[in-house]
This record gives sequence, C-alpha cells and structure tokens, in this order.
Amino acid sequence: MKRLIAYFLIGSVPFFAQEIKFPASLDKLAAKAVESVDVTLDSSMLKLAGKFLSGDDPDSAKVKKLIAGLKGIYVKSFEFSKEGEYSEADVEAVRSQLKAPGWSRIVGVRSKRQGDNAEVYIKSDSNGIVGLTIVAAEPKELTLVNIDGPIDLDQLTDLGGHFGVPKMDLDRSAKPKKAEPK
Amino acid sequence: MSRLDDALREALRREEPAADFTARVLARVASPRPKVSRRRALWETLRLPLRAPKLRWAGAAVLCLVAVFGFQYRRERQVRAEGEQARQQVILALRIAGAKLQVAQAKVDALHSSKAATVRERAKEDQ
Repeated sequence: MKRLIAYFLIGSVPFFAQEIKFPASLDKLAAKAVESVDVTLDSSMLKLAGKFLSGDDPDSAKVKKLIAGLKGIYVKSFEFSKEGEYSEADVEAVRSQLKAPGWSRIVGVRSKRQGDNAEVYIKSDSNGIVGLTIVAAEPKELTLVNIDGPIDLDQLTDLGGHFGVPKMDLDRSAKPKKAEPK
Repeated sequence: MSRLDDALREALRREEPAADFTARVLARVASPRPKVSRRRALWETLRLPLRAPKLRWAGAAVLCLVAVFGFQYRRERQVRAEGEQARQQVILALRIAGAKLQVAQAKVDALHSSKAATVRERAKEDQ
C-alpha cells in the first residue's frame, strides 16, 4: 500500500510541478486557431536542451546560462482568423492564480479602444525573481508565457537580437509593485 | 582357438552381391542429384565452423554485442532527437517571451509619451 502511495506521488509530480497551471479550456482553442504554439518544458527537458546548447557559441552559452536553474518554461500562443474566439474566462483563470502571494504585476496595459492587453507578472522572493508570467491578449491573438524558476531579466534582455529574440529595452531599475486591483 | 577361427571365418566369408546390384548402382549414378541435398551441403558447410563449442560461444557473444550496440545506438539517436527538439522549443519560447515583453514595453512607452505630450500641451496652454 505504501509503495502504491509512493508510486502515485512520484507519478503525480509532473502535474503539480507547474506552479501556474494553464486551464484545460486553452487546449480546445488550438482547434479554432489558425496558428498555435504549445511549449511545455519541465526541468528534465530543460536539462536535456541545455546539453544541446553549445557552450562554445556565445549566444548558445547565454541561453544555456539562462535556463540552467529553471524549473520549467510553458508557452501557449494562439492566433485566430477572427475576433472573439477566446473568452475572458480563459485568461481570467490564469490571472486569478497570479493573485497568489509572491506574485506582482510589473506591467499592466489595457486598451479598451483596441482591445489589447499586455500584462507582465513576476514572482520574487529574497533571492530575486523566481517566476515570470506574461499575459498578452489581443482581439485575434492570445499568448501566455510562464517561466518557472530563478530568472535574470538582464540575461533575458541580453538575448535580444539573437535567435530571433527581439531586442528589448526593459527598464532594469524597475522595482516590482504589488498587484493592482482591477 | 579353433572356435574363434571358425567364428571369424563365418563372419568374413565371401558373399556374392545380388544379381541386380550393378544395375542399381549405375541407375543411381545416372539419376540427377536432388537440389535440396546440395543446399543442405552448403548450409552444412557454413555451419561447420560453429560445430566447435568455442566458436559457437564466440558467435553468440558477437550476436549479443551487436544487439547491445544496436540498441544503444538507437537510444542515443532518440535522445539526440529529443534534445534537439527541446533546444528548438527553448529558443521558440524565449522568442515569444521576448516579443511579448517588447510589446508590453512599447505600450508602456507609448502611454508615457502620450501623457508627457498632454502635460506639455497643458503647460503651453497655461502660459
């Protein structure tokens, strides 16, 4: 019996490992989307990916360093042919998890006129940033990114211009603010 | 002694072949050899070295090694393919994350610049 419980606990680790869980309803959106991206990389897959990133190439070395301590990277991105294909509830299911202690919204832009929303949340503790979540909701596009683990924003910014990662000019001095009530 | 002599003589006494013996031998020689017997002979020739026990064990060991290395090679290829896919997924994820961070940053910048412009306009109006 004890062994059975142990097997259950070990087997269920991947389901509980991801701190921010994307709702199952998002998987159904892939059928409606003209283009969809689903990236699920847990720590073991990140370690494997790290082995295939050359330490000799400076750009690959940067990515290798960036993902070294991460627990997971999860991305869901959908592009639709027309508006209204996803519901606000799909996004709200993720936002509600980001109200948990430790999470702060550092960027929150909502345009009622254009219907664009861009939110950036970080989770920080005494060691620094230990999680990053991006919620980008546009009328015809929905993107959710969750990076779980210690992440250095400077390192992420440094990747801009390489591997097709756009150049970023993030305000590195910005301090995390408490999540604002919506 | 004479009994032994008699027994030997009896056992080795000359016997004439049957009358059709020569005809049967000639008929057998003239008839074509069955193909199966030649194939079997070839197979037997190939198996001949394996009749020695040491060689049989060596053959089995070689087969085992080939199987182990084959499995290992296949596994390594699979791991390499998974690793390469994971690497590409990491880069794709960082690309998307970077693009969305840039979008957020651009929106913040646009808001700041429009607010600054409004403040400047109001200041001019006040003057």
